This record gives sequence, structure tokens and C-alpha cells, in this order.
Amino acid sequence: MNLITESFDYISAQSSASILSLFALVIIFEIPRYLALFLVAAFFERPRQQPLDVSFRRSVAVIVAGHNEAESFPRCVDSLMEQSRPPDQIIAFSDGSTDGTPQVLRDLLAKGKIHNAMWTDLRGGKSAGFNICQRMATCDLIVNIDCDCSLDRDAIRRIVEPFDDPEIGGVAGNIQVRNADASLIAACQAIEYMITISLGKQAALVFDQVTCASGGYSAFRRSALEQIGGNDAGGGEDLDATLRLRAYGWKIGFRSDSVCYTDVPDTVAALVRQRFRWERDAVRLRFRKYSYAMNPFHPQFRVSELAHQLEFLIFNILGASILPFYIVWLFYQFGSHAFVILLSVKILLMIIDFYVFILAAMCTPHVNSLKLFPFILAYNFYNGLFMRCVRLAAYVDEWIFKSSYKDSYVPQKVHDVRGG
Amino acid sequence: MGNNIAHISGSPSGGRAAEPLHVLIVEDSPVTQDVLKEMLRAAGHKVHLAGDGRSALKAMNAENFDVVLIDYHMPHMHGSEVVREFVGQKGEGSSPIFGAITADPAAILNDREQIRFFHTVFAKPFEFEEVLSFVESVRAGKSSDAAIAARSGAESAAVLPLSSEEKEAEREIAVDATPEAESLLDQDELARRLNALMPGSAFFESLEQSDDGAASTSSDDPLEIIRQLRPGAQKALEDMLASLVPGSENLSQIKDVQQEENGAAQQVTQVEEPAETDRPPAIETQKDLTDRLDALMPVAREGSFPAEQANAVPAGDEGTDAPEEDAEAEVGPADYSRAVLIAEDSPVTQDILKLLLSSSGYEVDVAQDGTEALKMIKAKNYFVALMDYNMPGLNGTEVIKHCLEEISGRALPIFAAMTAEPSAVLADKYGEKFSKIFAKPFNFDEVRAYIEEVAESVLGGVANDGAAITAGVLAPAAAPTVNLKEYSADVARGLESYGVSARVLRWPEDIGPAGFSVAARQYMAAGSDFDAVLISERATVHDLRHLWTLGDLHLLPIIDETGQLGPKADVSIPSLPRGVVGRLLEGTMQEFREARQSVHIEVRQSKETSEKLAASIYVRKRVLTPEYSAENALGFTYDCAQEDEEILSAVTNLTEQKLLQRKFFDRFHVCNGCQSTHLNVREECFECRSPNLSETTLVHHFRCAYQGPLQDFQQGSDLVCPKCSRELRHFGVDYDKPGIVINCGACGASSSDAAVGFKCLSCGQHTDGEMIRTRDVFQYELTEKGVAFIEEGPIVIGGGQKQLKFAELPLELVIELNKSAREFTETSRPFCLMSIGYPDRRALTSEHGFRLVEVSRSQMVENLRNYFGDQAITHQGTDYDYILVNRLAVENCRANIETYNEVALSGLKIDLNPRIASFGPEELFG
Repeated sequence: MNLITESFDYISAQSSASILSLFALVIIFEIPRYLALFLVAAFFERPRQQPLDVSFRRSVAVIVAGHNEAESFPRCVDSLMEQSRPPDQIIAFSDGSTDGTPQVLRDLLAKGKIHNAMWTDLRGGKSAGFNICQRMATCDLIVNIDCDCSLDRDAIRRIVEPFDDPEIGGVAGNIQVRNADASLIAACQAIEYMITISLGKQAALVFDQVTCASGGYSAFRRSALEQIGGNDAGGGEDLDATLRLRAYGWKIGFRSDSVCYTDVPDTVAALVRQRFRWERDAVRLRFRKYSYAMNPFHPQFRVSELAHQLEFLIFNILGASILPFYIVWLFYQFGSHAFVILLSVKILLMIIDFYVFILAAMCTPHVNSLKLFPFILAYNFYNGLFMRCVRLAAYVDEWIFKSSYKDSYVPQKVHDVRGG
Repeated sequence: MGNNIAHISGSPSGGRAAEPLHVLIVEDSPVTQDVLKEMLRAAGHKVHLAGDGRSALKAMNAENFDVVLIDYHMPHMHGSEVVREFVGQKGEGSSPIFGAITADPAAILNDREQIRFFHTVFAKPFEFEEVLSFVESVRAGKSSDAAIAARSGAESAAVLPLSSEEKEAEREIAVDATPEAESLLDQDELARRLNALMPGSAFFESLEQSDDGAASTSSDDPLEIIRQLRPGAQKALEDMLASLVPGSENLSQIKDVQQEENGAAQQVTQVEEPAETDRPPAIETQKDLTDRLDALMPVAREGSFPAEQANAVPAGDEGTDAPEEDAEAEVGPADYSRAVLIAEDSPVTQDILKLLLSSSGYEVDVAQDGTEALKMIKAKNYFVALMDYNMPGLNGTEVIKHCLEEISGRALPIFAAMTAEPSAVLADKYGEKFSKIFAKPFNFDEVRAYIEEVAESVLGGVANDGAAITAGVLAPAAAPTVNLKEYSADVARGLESYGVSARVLRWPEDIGPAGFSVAARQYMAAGSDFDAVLISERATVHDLRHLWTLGDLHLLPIIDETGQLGPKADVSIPSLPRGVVGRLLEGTMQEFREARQSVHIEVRQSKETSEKLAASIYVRKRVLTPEYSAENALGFTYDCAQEDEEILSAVTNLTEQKLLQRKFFDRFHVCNGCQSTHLNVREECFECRSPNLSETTLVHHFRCAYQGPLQDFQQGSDLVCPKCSRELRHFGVDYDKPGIVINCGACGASSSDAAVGFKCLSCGQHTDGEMIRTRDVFQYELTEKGVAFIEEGPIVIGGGQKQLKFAELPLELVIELNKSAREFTETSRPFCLMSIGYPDRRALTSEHGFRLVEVSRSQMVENLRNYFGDQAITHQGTDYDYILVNRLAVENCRANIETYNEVALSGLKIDLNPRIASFGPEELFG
């Protein structure tokens, strides 16, 4: 108690300038984003829902790809058949599965539940699989879905609506967590998904800054995909493809009311592995493959691309990188008072989180956000400290070891030869 | 009556020279019979046939014949004995002209005692023309004789034969001169002699006799004569007159007259019968029969003519017959029905006789064996009982014996025997009680004629009723007469070319698409069997369906000479090496014969398709096996000559009853449109169902993640990535081939797999692989229960179920059972009925002999009786023995059945292998 009172006395003794510096991190890295989110949620209208027949204006193919997902395929296909706007073509792909997935696909094909099935004996990576399926698709739109995902009844109907705008090349779906009650870490991810996807992408949409039509669930215009030559080899192909679509001038949309549920890692180890992969691929793609976007003299340079690159650089990389320095500086400056200061920062952030969570819940239909409410406290630590550390480690790892060229998400044979 | 018609028809048509003679042919060879009959009929004579001496005598007693041609060697009686007996009875005065037929003329000539009765002897083989001319000469003699008036006894005596010396001399000459001569008498000589000897016309004589003093002297007047006829003849007569005398007044006149006469006739005859008699009620002669019936059934005779008239018994003969004219005065009036009882154990004969007689208007009941026949005779009045002599249970004469002993107060039926061994019947003490013996193979016409004859006497000819009485299944009246003997020989020659002698039912000669030929029917009606069915021209199973309609013909092996029946035939000759055919045929027929005999009579007689099929499976090695068949739309066919659809519905039934067990054979895909299994199976595109598919390898270019069919990459001999234009050089490093892709040439779709689809070759319908219907086909094998059912009949397993049929149980046992049941309801005292069957009885009997088996059976039952003490009531039946044990619950009985078995068999010389079944009150009465 003494410490807290003392700290309070100390803080209250500071000048406003020094207080500002105390909370610099918060002020710089959190408040603008939250403010933007608030603005979006409060003032920008969300996309209008159209009558059902609109969704039938364009034919829709769904590509379901998976590796050793014998059990998931039938469930996923069933949820597709249950759609209010069922797909016109379902293409299933088994990428070198060894668990009898081809047999499952053969059965689905025989039952007429899917229209095309393709499997290979050797694993070739998700990109290659998607590419062959994409060429089998005959429809105007291609929905890409991981086979461990399941869809809300209206998901496809909603995700195809934005294609009425001829400039739209791809639309990101609203991916949410299905197994939120699996563990604390899963619950935190559930909150994270609500905030970063439902709310975050909604906000990004307003500024035309949607940069990743997630590989888990998104829709593309087939002609656009053909234009960019499908996916390229390597991980993070969803981000890769989206960035290329943007580079080709397509707009990327987002529909918060097109909800897709997926299972997130429910252990720390699995989560760390997943995030390492994501963050490494993001760094690799953004600052290696698409580094030209930050070069004002490059012929393809565009401000809109620079914006999301900078956003990522500042909020993700800098935000994570600065954290250790900030803490060291805090302790150096304030000694034992640093704890109290950190605590007070946390309390402030928690208040912000609470407010953001409510915003996110407002933006996320069909998800029972109420049960996630108690986890906001944990989320604060998860997002503010844990994720920052993970990201930092991933960036360092990629920067130094180029680990994205080794991860098992892509077969090694592909890593060995792929460029970029 | 036919006789009368013949006379009348001759009468108005012309002079005496054309008058037909009434000829009796007594001959045991049906071939000879038939040929003679045909020939003489063609010459305008009225011919009557008799198969043996007895029937000849009977016929002669019933009618007057002008000429009697008699076979010297016949069953039962020699020709000469017949003649002697007849002349002895009637006196020579009323004798017709006798001619002997023999293969051994010397025998007659040596028999000096007999020779004098014969006017001529025909040595076999003789020319029929000789016979004809002999008969013609008799006619010539008749018509040339001025003294047409009734022939007197004295005259007859005078004109009768040459002295024996004379004849002998002549015949010796003839025989010496032409040892193989057709006729012993020279034609001229014969004519001369006959002209001198023949006294008069039997025609007028017979007319006078049939008038029986009831007036008409104007025998030239057809109407007068018609009056004498019974109603049964009227139709035939009307037809005849209609053709002869144009105008219908005649006919109506006839009818009027007829009716009047009928009325009058009722008052005419009162036959007096001696009151006392110790003769059994069997009937020796037709007259005897009618007399007896006249006495017994005045009511039955109303509306009919006097029996004497009907049978044209000469009044003068009554004296001779007097000792035999006996009837049971003590027997009360009987309500004779039109019922005929057939006791016969051959299902085929049963069926045919029944069919024929019932279509002739009789009510026909069939008894399976002697015991049943007796039971039925006791229960119902039959006017004729046609019995097989050799039957299971009681044989024919035993039935008569029991009837005589046990039935009193009413008339017995007239018994007729059917037998393959007439001598055995005659040897029997009661054999003579049969008023008629039909030797197998008999001509069914004979049987029918006989029954009609009896029916006319007994029932006043109601049966004929003026309608065409010929059974529909027999030849229509106009059809050629079947020569059974010849036919039998034909039948027996069916497999001659394979060196096998067997009687075969031939397709298409004997059984055709429309059913059985007249000859085959008559052959079967005569109690003859077939050994096999021979298919010598293309036939379908549908064509052979008639085999399943008659008796147990479906249990005959089917020998297929065409090879087109495939597995449906039991022997397919074209598929056999020539050398083994004969042996194999014999073996097969033997197997079938043995197997047939093991089939219980009730099952053989069953009309149930499923039971017939079960029996058929049983004789055909007990397994019903499907075989692939491209000709059948089902895709398979069962090795049984029945239509497969029929088989399928029957086996379902049998499997439900657990008589058959099934074993998976194959699964057929069937067209959803037409049920055909003739389908083209093909790999198809999932999208457009085109079978135009091609398969290529998939290539994965690692560097740019392009993955696609090989042709996307092929540029000449190089592989170039269509996405990034890099050349693929290093397999496993630049690219690999992770799988295959199937491309549709019709719609361009690609896939890793192809769909399966079916195209029907019959109706063209396409069906997706997932939608196609399947049909599982099974092999069926008789279960133990099924075998028991076939061998032991449905008695215990009653129609395949375990129900015990009360009707089958002996009466004493039923009484005891009822007692026990009452006890059970009143005091809950349990009881248990055990039935003991002997599935191996047949085999045991052939191994150890009938006696030992029966003694062992008795011993066994005795053992059990001793074991159970006075709680047990035993009853021995023919097929089953029964033990009723009081105070024994059926559960306990079942638990201890092994013990009982041991006890039962202790001390027996042979292992009877009994099958003991137990029934409690619930099963028996529940």
C-alpha cells in the first residue's frame, strides 16, 4: 500500500510533460488506434445487407483445401450445403494427405455433395493446391475456406454482396473463434479476433486499408485471381495474394456479418508457433517481397500501400520492439515506482480494452460475446505483454534466421527453390 | 348303349348287306386292340374292346356280339376258357362266332377240348385284311340268311362248329402248308362254311332283347327303337339323326316318345331278389351290379330305364345267372352320390384320373393310401372306388376286407383295382371282390367307359347328361385313338440313342407349350411312370411349366439334348463327352428315382409351389444354386426348371419357414428402369456423366506453386511453367508429379477420380453408381428341418411349422390327449406328447429288412413305456410312434431327451436313429 501511495504522490508531483512521457507508449501506440475504432464504430455506416437474390447475381465456387483433414472435410462441406446461398461449385483438395482423406473426398463426390475433388499423393503446400483448384473453378467468385472452418448460415450470401462493386477484387470474411471455452488462451484469442478482425478490419475498410483477406475464409473475384496468377509459393500466401491484388489496383472488402468460425490453438506452445509463422511471413512479405511499397521512387508506389505498411511498421514492429526499452527506461527513471506506474498504465489500458470490447461486440454479429466478458482482464496481459513479446521474438527470429524459409507450413522442397 | 346306336344308324341307311356287326375284341395288347378296332370301325362295324378274359365275359354277358375275336393267351384266363365259360353259362345257342388270335396256333390245335369253340384261328403275325375278310364273311352269311327272325337256341346248337375232327384236319393242313400263314382257313372255304352256318342277325336279336317284351315289333322304325334308349344316348342319337333325317320334327317326336316311355318304364320292372345270400357285396358282372342296385335303390332308378334294358341282358339268361344274382338284402337304402374314390399313391395318376373324372361330371375324392381310402369309404358313399392294389398302409384287398367287416347297413362302392400285377390281385383271397381289374398300363378310356357304365347303371346315366362328356383334357371325340402299347414303346425308346432304356416324357412330342399330349395323359392316367423328361427341341422354362402342374413330374430329371436350358436342365447332353452320356444318364435317373422315393407322399402330392420347389431341391442334391446367365434378364438362373421369379418368391417363403437356409452368392446391380442386370458399367465424369475421360499426371512447380496437368507444361519435349514461364528441369527439385488428374473430354472438367455409372443395355436408361439398385442373390440349401419335412411329410412340422396336426393323430391318442388336457386345465397336471419319427427308416429297411426294423421299433416303444411306467400311453402309427406321458412337463422332457433316447435304444440290435419331438399342452392346444 505504501508503495502505491508513494507512487501516487510521486506521479502527482510530476509535471504534465513528464506525465505525458510516462504514458508515452500508451499515448502513441494505443489511443490513436482506439480512437479510430471508436470513430468508425460510431460514425461510419456498415455495409448494407442486400436481399438474397443479390447474392445469386454471380456464381460462387468454394475451394476447400486441407492436409490430413479426413474428419473435417464432411463437416465443412455440410456447413456449405446449409448456406442460405449455397455455393454453385464445391472444389475439394487434399494435399498429399495420408489419413484417407482421398477416400472421404471420393465418398463426398459419389454422394454429390461436392462437385470436384482433387488429391495428390505428395504434399505440395497450400498455394499449389489452391492454384489447381482455382483453375478448376468455373464460377465468377471463388470462396476460399480452410476445411477446419465452419460457416454461419449467411456467410456466403454476405461475403459475395460486396462484389457488386466492380472494383472489389477480394473480400475478407469475419473469422471468429469457435473454441473460445477451450482454454484461457483460446478465450483471449477470441477477444483478440473480435477486436482485430471484426472491429479492426471494419475500421481498415473505412480507410481502404484491408490488407489481408485471410486464407481461412475469404472471397475473390476469379478474374482478379487469374490476373495475379493465383497464389505464390511460400507461407502467408493469403497476405501475399491480397497485397498483390492491391498492387494490381483491386480493392479489398470486408464483411463483419459474414462470419466464419475456426478453432484457434488452445495451448501457448501451439499459439506461439502459429504466431511466429504469421509474423515472420508478414515481415518477409511486407519488407522483402513488397518493400517497394515504401519506396516513393518505385513505379508501383502508392500512398495507400505505404499507409498500411507504415501502420504495420509502427504499431506492430515498433510497438513490440519498444516495449523492453520502455520498461528498462521506466525502471531506470523511477526505480521501484516503475511497478506502480506500470500498474496504473495497465489500469488505464484495461479501461480502454473494456470500451473497445464493447465496440467490437457491437460489430460482431452471431457471436456470444457476453461470455467472453470476464476474460477482458486476462486479455489485457495477453495482448499488451505476451503477444508483444511473441511478435518481437518472431521479428528477431525472421530478421536474423530467415526462419520463414524453413517452417513446416510449406514443404521444404518448395522452400528450397522459391524466390522472394 | 353305343351298341344300340350303331344298330339304329345302320338300319335306316340301307340294306342288310351294309349292316354293321357287333364285334368284341378280346386282346391284351393295346396295340393289337387299337389297330383291330380302327380297322373294323373303318369297315363299319361296331367294336367293343376287352383287355382280358374277365372283362370279355362281362361284356359278353352284357351285350350280344356277332363276332368275338379272342386272344388265346391272356392274363387270368385263356381264350378258350373264356369261350368255354361263356358257352357253359349261356349255352351254345346264344354264342357269337368266335375267332382265336394266337402266336402259337399249335397250342390251340393240340387242345382238342377247346378247339371246337373256335370258328377260325389267326396266327400272329396275321394280316388284318384276313380278319376283316373273316368278319365280312360273317356279315355276308348273316345277310344272305333269309331266316332273319330270332335265332333259337336249338338252331344255334345246330349251326355251331364243325366237328372237332373236321376242323383239326383242316387246320393241320393249313398250318403245315403255310407255317407262317396269316389265316388258317382258306377264304373260299371259310365263306362257304360261314354262309352255311351263320344263323341270323345278332342285330335284331339284340334289339328284341333290349325291348324286353315292352312291345315294339317294328324294329325297322327308328323312332320305336329310340324310345328304348335311355336319355344318356339321346344326344348322340339326335346328332346322328339330324345328319340322316333332315327336319327336326323327328327329334322332338323322339323326345316326346322318350318321355312317355320313361314314365312307363318306371312301372315296368320289378326285379325280385333272393333275400338270403352269403355272398359278399362284390360284383361279378354288370348284371349282377344292376340287379343289386335295382333292388337297393328304387329311388335312384326313377327317371331311368330299367337296368336290364340298359345293359341289354338277354332275359333268357337270367336262369344261368341266378346263383350270382345276389345282393345284400340287409343293406339299407343308400344315398349314392356321384362320388368316385380314387385310392392311388402315384401323384401323377391321381391328378390325371381326378381331372378326367371330375371333368366328366363326377365328384372325385383322392385317398393317398389304403388306410385313408378305408376311412373315406366309411365316411361317404362312393359308387365306385378305384383303388391301386399296391398301396402303403392297407392294400386294395385289405381295404375291401375291412369294408366288408366294418361296414354294414349300407351299400359298398363297386371296387375296381388298378395294378401292374393283376395276377397278384387274383391270387389274393379277396381279389375277386374287385369287379374290375385294370392292368397297368391301362387305357384310360377303359376306366372312363367302365365308370360311365357303372354310373349309368347306378345313377341312371346322369353323369353323361347328354353333354360332351369327354374330359377336356383327353382327346376330343374326333381325335385319333391312342395306341398305348405303341406309345409306351415309343416312350421307352426315348434314350435309345444313348444306349439307355428309360421311359421319357418328351418335349415337344409328349409335353408341348400347351400341355401334355393326349397320349401322354392317357399313359399317365394308366398308372405308368416316366423316368425322365427329354428335351429334344428348344424349350424355355416357361414352356415346361406344365411339369409343375401335374403330380410329381417336377421331380423328374430333365435331360436336355439341345443344351439351351443350361443349368436348368439336370443333364445337358451337348456338354458331355459322348462316351459317358449313357452312364451318366442312368446314374442321374437312378439318383432321382431313389431321391423321389424318399420324398414323403404328401409332399409329392402337394400343390403348393413352394413345397414343390422344396421337393425339387431335395431330389436335386438338396441345393438350389444360382448360375450366371446372360440370357436371363436377372443375370442369373437357378438350376431348377422353374421360372426364376417363381423360384424367388417360393424360396422366400421356404426360408421364412426355415426349411431353407441361404448363402450369399452375388450382388447384382439392376437397372432402375427395367430391372435388367445387363448393364454397361463405366467410369464417368462427375459433372456431365460422359465416359469420355482421359487420365494425365499432375505436375507441381514448386517455385511458383503452379500445379496442373502435364499438358499445361508441355512445350514440345520441354516442360515450361505456364505461370512463371520457367523451364522445369530438375525433377524433385524444380517440380514433381504429386498425383493424377482425370480430364473429361466432353465438358472439360477435371478431377482426381471418376464416377461410376451404369448404362442399361436393355432399355438404355442411365443410372448413377450411387443410385443403382442392387439385388443380392443367394444359394439355398435345405436345412435339417427342410429335409425332415420332405422325408417325413408335413405331419409333425405341419406345413413347415411345428404344429402337430390333430387330424393326423390316431383316434385313440386324441381321446387320451383330450383326457390329459382336461386334467391339465382342471388340476394343472402336466403332460407331454412325444412323437418319434424315423428319418432313416427307408435306409434301415433296405439294410436290415422290414421285419427287423418294425420289431426294433416296437421294442423301442416298449422300452420307453417301461421307463415311464403307467404314466405313459403309447401308440404305434405307420410313420410315427407316439408316447403320451402324464405328469411330465414338456420342459423336463426336453431336458432329458438324451436319456430317453438312450433308454429307448437300449438292447436294440440296430440303431433306429429316432427323432423325438416333444409337445406340451400349450403347443398342442394353445
